[in-house]
Amino acid sequence: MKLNLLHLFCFIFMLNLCACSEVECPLDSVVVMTCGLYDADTKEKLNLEQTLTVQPMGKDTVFLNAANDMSDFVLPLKYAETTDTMLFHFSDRWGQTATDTLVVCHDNIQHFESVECPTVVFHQLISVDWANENGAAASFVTIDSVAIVRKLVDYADVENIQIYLRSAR
Amino acid sequence: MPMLKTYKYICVALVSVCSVMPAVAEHYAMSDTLSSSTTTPKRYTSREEARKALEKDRHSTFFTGFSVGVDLVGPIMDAASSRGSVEGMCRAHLLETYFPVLEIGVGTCNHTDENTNLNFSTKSPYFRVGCDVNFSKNKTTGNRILGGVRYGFTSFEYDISAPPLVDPNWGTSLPFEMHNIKGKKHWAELLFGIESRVCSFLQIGWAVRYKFTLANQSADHAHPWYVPGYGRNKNGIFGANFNLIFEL
Repeated sequence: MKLNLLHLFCFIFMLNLCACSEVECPLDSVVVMTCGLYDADTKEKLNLEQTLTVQPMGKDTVFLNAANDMSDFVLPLKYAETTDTMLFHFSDRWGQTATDTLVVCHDNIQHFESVECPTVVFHQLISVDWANENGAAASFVTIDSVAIVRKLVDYADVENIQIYLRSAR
Repeated sequence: MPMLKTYKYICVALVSVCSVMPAVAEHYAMSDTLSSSTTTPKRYTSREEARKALEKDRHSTFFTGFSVGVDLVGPIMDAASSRGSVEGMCRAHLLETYFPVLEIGVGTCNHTDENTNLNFSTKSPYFRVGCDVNFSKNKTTGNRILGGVRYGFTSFEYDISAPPLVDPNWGTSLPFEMHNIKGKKHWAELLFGIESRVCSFLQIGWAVRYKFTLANQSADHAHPWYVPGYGRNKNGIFGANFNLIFEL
């Protein structure tokens, strides 16, 4: 009798053991492209003195609104398309403005972590192109070049592209 | 013509002799067996002496039989939850101490999370090989304390589906479906269990297992949530079996 009760107890314990689970989702599940600002001459990290607003082309949405005194920022990429065109509006306290265009080409990768975690889309950067308004010499600040340093855009808060800015002297 | 008839009679005679030979050989073999089996049974002075003699005899016998069994936890889990398995095992009895074992099963999972509505499904076979050691002092009663190791392997396919992903900035909807994603897993298990004899040929036993991954292979952006035969895809998990074992 005692042995049968022991076996029954162990059987129920084992069913519970097999039923245990825990959730392990990443705390930060937002997928954004991290952009660093650098000086085109010194190649050092730049603390932006001017004001920067970033908008997608063809939409009123604002990704970055009048930000300054910063050296990096994040931008979202499209889930369903492979090209993102963004307008970089620079302005300073003297009212000067300049708008540059950044075109990011990427692949989209659906990512599954666990059934308890929401699905996300990662991106694989292919190329980044830029265009200056009215030519580089006419602007008080302009994008000189852009380099991809990490192609995979995922949860990690790691720099993906380096934007080198040139200020007119 | 007479030569032809002679050859014909010789062939018939040869065929007749060949067909009778096996029966004659069998008759003489049976005679030998009967003559050698008529031995006088040995008498013991007490029951204790007979038990010790039997134990000595069984210990000296290398192969004492084999058994087959089925796991009861897997089908119950399958009926009561979103995942489970159907598993059978076969093992040999060596010196009533070592039990090499082969376990084969089919693991299934069809799980949908109630919060995310994400569905993961798989149904694939797996196998494990290993050996158990009986640590109990009295090895002839059929009650055993077992410790063992296993090596497990499965090659499986799985499907993942989710509600469409909506881009929060652009409002576009992206369907999320992945089918027939292939995966492989090698793992090892450390096992502790107890078995007890119910009657002459039937035993019940349970075992707790600690499982850890040796190697695995799966899609980079869709790791399997459940692996048939292993369980939830984490390194270092516990599992259990409750076996119905038939000794043959």
